[in-house]
This record gives sequence, C-alpha cells and structure tokens, in this order.
Amino acid sequence: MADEAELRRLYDVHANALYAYLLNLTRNESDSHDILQDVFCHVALHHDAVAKAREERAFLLRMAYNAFVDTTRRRHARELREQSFAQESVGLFEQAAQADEAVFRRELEAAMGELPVEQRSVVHLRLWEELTFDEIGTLMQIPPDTAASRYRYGIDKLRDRLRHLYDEIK
Amino acid sequence: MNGMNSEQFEDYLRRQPLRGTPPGWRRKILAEAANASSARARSGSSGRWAKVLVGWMWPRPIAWAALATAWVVILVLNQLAAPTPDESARASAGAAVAEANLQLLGRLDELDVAADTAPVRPRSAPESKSPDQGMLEWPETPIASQT
Repeated sequence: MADEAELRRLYDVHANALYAYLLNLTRNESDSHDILQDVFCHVALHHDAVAKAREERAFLLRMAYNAFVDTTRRRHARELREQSFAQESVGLFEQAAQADEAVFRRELEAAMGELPVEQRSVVHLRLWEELTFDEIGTLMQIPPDTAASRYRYGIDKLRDRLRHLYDEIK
Repeated sequence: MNGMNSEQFEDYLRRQPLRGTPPGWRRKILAEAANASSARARSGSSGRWAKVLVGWMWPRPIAWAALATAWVVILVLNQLAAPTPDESARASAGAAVAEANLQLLGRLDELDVAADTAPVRPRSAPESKSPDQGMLEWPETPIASQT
C-alpha cells in the first residue's frame, strides 16, 4: 500500500494528464472525477504494481482507460453514453487569450467528440501524451497496427473538420 | 491538402493546452485514497492472523488432524445435547402447566390481599343453644333398650 506522501507525488505528477484523458473520453466532468478517484484508490491499494511499472504515466493511463471501459460496461448503455459524452462540451482545453484560438479550441473539442471513442483515445494518447503506437497498443490492449490505423482515421477526420479554421489561423 | 502539412497540423493540435484538474479535487481524491488504504489495512489485520495460522499449521498435518477432530467432537456433542422431539414436547407441556400454576398462585395472592384489606364488621354474638335444641341433637335412645 502507498503512503500518503507517495500518493500526493503521484497525484501532482500525473493527475492533470489523467484528468484530461478521462475528460476527453467521458465528456463529463463528474464521471471523470469518479474514475480518477477510482484510479487513485486502486493505486493506494496496489501501489506495488505502480512501483514496478516501467513507465509510471503509461501504467496509470492504462488504469484510467480500463476504469473507463468498466464504467461504461456497467451502465449497459455504452453506445448511448459515448454518443452523449461526445455531444457535451466540457472545456477540454484551457481558455485561449485570442478569439480565433478560442474558436479553434472549441471546434477541436467538438471534432474530437465526434470521433468514435477508440479513435479519440488513440489520438489523445498520441498527441498529448506522446506515446508510441506500441505503448498505445499495450495500454488499450490492441495491436500497434490497429492503434496506428485508428490514429490516421482520427487525424484525417479532424483535419477535414478543422481545415477552414486552421487555414485561417495559419 | 491545400498546403496543409499533416505534421504541422498535428504539431498545432499538440500545442493546444489541456485543462488541468479543478481546484479542490486534490484534497478530496487523496483523502478517499488514504481512506481506502487504511480500510484495507484494518481488514488486513484479521487476514494476517489467518495467514499466520495457516503458515503455522500447513507443514504440520497433525495440527490439521487435531483441528478436524475437535470440530467433529464439537458437532457430535452438539447433536447429543440437542433435545429429542419427545423431550421438547414434554418440556413445552411442563412449561404450560407451570404457567397455569403461576396464574393460580397470582389469583390466590390477590384474594388474600382483598381479604386483608376488607373492612372489619362487628362480630355477631356466639350462637347459644337452647336446652331444647340440645336435646333435639342428642341421639334418641330407643325405648326398648331402657326397659
């Protein structure tokens, strides 16, 4: 079991990344909170596994993904939940100082929400966690090639959706 | 592609800063985690005793046999000590009789108390018997025997 100082350290180092990932998956702040709490309770009870992990962040992201999958399974309405998650705006990104950046972030969040959750997860892990496809494959328990193809599909959709805004900014 | 470089686009996406955890979550989540940890520690102490017991007994088959024998003896004694249906029927009948007796005693007590608290009435004069009445009660002697 982890002592409190170790839990605090893990929270300070990883909580923001886990929260952003969960928020992108669930599209719901309350669900993200519940899953994040489950993750840290699990860490408190099974700290040995975290300590033995080669990549602490990747291990915790995997725990968060598994907890998300369990949560959606438990609700017996996974498809409905994912659709409703995707339609909600939750403030995934920080507030932008400039108006065109704010519009881009809002549209990016909406575009991410339109992706199937498996593609959304891969895109998030690749872009903002900078994981390799091998690492993403391990985390989501899929072959690396599948992770790569999901990423390409996701990025293509984002590019099509955001092309006009991106061209204006650039 | 309209001059839209894929790598540049991905880099631009990557530079969009994600929002951090809301303030106040840290304390709450860490407190919950600490609670979960301490609850496990509490429940773990009984588990440790079980582990110690198993660790001590596992290499000692005689200890296991003694434990099993003790359980068998306890079960047998328990069976022997249990009343038969006949005995329990008798016991319940006896209990019913005892109950009825108690109720009777209770009524008698009530009667005694009522008698003690009743107002004292002046006693009537003792009945004096007239000589005639005495004679009448006397057994008649047959005349034949007098003669």
